[in-house]
Amino acid sequence: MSDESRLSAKLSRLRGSVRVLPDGSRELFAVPPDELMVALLQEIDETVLARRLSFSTDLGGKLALDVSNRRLRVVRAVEFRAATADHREIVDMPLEQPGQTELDLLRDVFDAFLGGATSLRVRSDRVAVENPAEIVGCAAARMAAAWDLDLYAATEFDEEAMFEAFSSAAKPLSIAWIEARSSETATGGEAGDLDLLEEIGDQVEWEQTDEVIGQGAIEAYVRVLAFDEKGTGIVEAGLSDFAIRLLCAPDRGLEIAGLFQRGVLARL
Amino acid sequence: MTVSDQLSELRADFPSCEIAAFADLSSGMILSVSADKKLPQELLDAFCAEAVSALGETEASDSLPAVAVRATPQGFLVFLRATSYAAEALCLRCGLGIDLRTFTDAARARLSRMEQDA
Repeated sequence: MSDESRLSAKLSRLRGSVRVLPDGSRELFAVPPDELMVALLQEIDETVLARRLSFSTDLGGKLALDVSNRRLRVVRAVEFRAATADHREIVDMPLEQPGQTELDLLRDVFDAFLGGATSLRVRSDRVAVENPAEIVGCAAARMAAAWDLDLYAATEFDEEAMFEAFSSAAKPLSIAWIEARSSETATGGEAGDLDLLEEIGDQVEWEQTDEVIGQGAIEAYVRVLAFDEKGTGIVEAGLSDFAIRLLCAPDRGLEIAGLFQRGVLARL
Repeated sequence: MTVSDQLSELRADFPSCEIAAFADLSSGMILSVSADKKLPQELLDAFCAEAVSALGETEASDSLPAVAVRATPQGFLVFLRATSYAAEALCLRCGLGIDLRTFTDAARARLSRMEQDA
């Protein structure tokens, strides 16, 4: 990959999908699980000096990796609900010359750590390692190649995939939903709840997504209408030709809007 | 503490909140505003019109939204209706990176304080 495209990818990430937190750690947002995996590998690939990368997900899982020269040298902590005894065996195991067995185990560990997560925090701390200049460990690029991931793919807006990822995550948080994809519509939920969604929806027109913002930018929006502390609210989200309305408790409304914020708006 | 002070404190707590305004939805007027620079009246009128569109116009009614959030890639608009007088609302514009729930909860608490002080 050229320096220019690497820089372009980096800038794309910085534009919206990364947030720096007050303690100096960074939060990376993505909904499709492969993107978080790529983000994790990119962190390894961008670490030249000896550092301990402490990752945590929005689900509470923790993973600590000692990294230098863009290579994973040792897994230091594996703390998440789906962790198995096999996963924990890799902790403190030197990965100087990792073979296929170690690569498979690492993939299993990372998959289990990221499963279901939509954001990833990373904190980088100095760590002492023996012979830090020595080129040993499992290179991020090697892991990416073995797992068929493109570390620095150009950012493309696959609108349908982005919308699908959001709506799949949002529907379980709702009571009922109506989804429109181009000319097709689908619904989910109990009949009474769908009636209520339509009744509330009749009072509020759907947003129009045909308005052009800027130079041909994709228009996307989310809006939340919460009616009271105990009542129900609606969330409506749209991206290009796709739109969904969800009936939900007011607290869920902001949660669903947050999913759209991190999964779609922050990436445009 | 004045409404203006409350708005400024809210913005100080959340630096990505660019505009904090207190509006009377029934008259379509912004009554007080806090922002980094002086805002043109047209923008304030449009902001208030957006709040009316999102929350509904006037009198207390259970069928009107208490909270409305609208977001585009340019940022969030958050509108919170006052509980004691339904025609009044807090109107906020902030950046996309904000923690929406934390911000909305803080704004709700701030609006409650404004209502108590009134």
